[in-house]
Amino acid sequence: MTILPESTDQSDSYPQITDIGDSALMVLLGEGVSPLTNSVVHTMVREIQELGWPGIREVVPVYSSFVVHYDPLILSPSALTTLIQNIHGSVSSENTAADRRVILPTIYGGDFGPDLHSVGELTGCSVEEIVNIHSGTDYLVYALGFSPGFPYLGDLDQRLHCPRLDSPRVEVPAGSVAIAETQTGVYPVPSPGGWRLIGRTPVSLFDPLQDAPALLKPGDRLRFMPIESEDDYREIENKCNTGEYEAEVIYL
Amino acid sequence: MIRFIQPGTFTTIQDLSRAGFQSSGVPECGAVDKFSMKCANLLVGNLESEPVLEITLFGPQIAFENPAVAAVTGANLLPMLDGETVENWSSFAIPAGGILSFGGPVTGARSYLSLRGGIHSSSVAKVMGSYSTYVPGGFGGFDGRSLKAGDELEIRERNLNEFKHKAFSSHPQFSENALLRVILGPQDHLFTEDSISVMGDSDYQVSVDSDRMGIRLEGTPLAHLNSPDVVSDGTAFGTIQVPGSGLPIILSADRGTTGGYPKIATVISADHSKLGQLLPGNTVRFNVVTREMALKALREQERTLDSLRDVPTVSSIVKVAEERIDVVDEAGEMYPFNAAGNRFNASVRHNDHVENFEINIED
Repeated sequence: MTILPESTDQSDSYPQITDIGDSALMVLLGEGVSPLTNSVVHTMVREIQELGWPGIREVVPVYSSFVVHYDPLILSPSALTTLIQNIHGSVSSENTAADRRVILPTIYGGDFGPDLHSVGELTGCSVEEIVNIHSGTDYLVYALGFSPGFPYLGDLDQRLHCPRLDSPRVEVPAGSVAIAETQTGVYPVPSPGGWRLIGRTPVSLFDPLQDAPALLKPGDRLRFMPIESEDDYREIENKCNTGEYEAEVIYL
Repeated sequence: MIRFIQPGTFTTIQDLSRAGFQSSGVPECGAVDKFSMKCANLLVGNLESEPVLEITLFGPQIAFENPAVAAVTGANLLPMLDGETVENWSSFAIPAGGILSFGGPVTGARSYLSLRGGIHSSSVAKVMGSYSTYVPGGFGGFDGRSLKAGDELEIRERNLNEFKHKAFSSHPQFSENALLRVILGPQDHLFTEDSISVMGDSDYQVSVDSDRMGIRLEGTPLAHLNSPDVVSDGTAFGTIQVPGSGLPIILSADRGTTGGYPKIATVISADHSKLGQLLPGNTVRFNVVTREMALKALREQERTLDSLRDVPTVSSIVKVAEERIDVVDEAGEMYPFNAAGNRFNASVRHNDHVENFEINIED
């Protein structure tokens, strides 16, 4: 006789583990974007990495899912699935508090943030209000992706929500601080982009020659600190270029 | 030393991959056709992970200051030594002062040029554990870019006399009509049922907008059930993502580490080699298979590579548990093996290089 589980609570339907071809599994832990689910993603990813199973090539976390790349000649997907289910059963679903806050000095407007005025027109906020709202809160780093060191940040204050540019810029300068829809982010390396540029940080978010090439890591809190003048911006920029500047990191 | 008289359309240094940094948003990189790349190295007696030159479409013209042993695999781009055609998939000697050139693409898109001894580490940058060039990010390989006329590379010295000529007779034939085997998912449920059959029954053409990031296809659009957006998630080599236009894009070596479009299917590992050889205008057809079939095909491909490998001699096997055995080599060193089906696989360290091989236990 089959005994049906009593509860069909939504939490029972996760993790959803699906093949991405023959050498990767997609592990989905929940719908949508939530700091709680994201925290479980990072806890699980850390545990899997620490196990160091032969055959596990790389584990890549994003918002509410992660991908496990494996060598199918060494590890069977069924053994890997069992491992993932066991780890999921053992992790606490409590939100693990961030342990670092990274401060990014940012100059708003002018040539550094050419879309600040259009954001003002679209949102009805004054320039001062935009700067205060944008720099007045901590952002959670959900994940890094899209391009090297690019942080997916949450969540942008509703008062600043505005659409992407109709036509993306061919090249967005490195360090550009941008907003689009419900998101804000920083472009670590020059790349094309359709988000609205409101400012720029002189601090490098990605240096391929460092042991840890990305300044930010998932789970960090990020705070933008307004730079008052272009002179102050140039001073920090010079220090960054000569390696004298170290980003302010507060351990919580 | 070798010097580039002409760089060719797009010639970069690539190794197997830049694994381990996708969680920082750094693409996997590496040779697009890893099978051909490994063969190129094995044909000249290099470690199969040694960085090689990935040559796209029209190849370079290279002057050799010193004698060398080389092999060209993958696409047939008509390699020539001092104006005389040399054979693909076969090692050959280059005299001092020799000039290697390419006549133009005949079949396939990418050739791999290996040189016995490998490229000297003074000429190439190892960044985040890999020599692979990531051109959009400007790092790795030669100055983070494709090679230009006048660039010079040092070749590691190795005794060339010791070397025995090698050829690979059972090499793959690349066709203008590629059949790519795929496993459905991870988001095939976000497409209409019709779309799944359309994908299996239609011919798609490779678009000119294809590159190391992805292969864009033209043909019958695939219909999403709802929105063409999903919460951004991870990607793999060979993942077929479908944006709002309905036209599939097959993600390749330099793909972004995350994507926000539904992924209908993923090309199996054994067919990744073919992805690297697709030219604009080529026809692609998809064939849905199971993961058991995918694994069988991958094992067959590995066995083909084994014919070129010097597999270490195993002197004894110790069965530790049902799913685990240990293997002892001639030097008395022990390696743990893990079961995958009824074949056993191991990673064996030769000096500073890890090689994977498998053995088959008969009862």
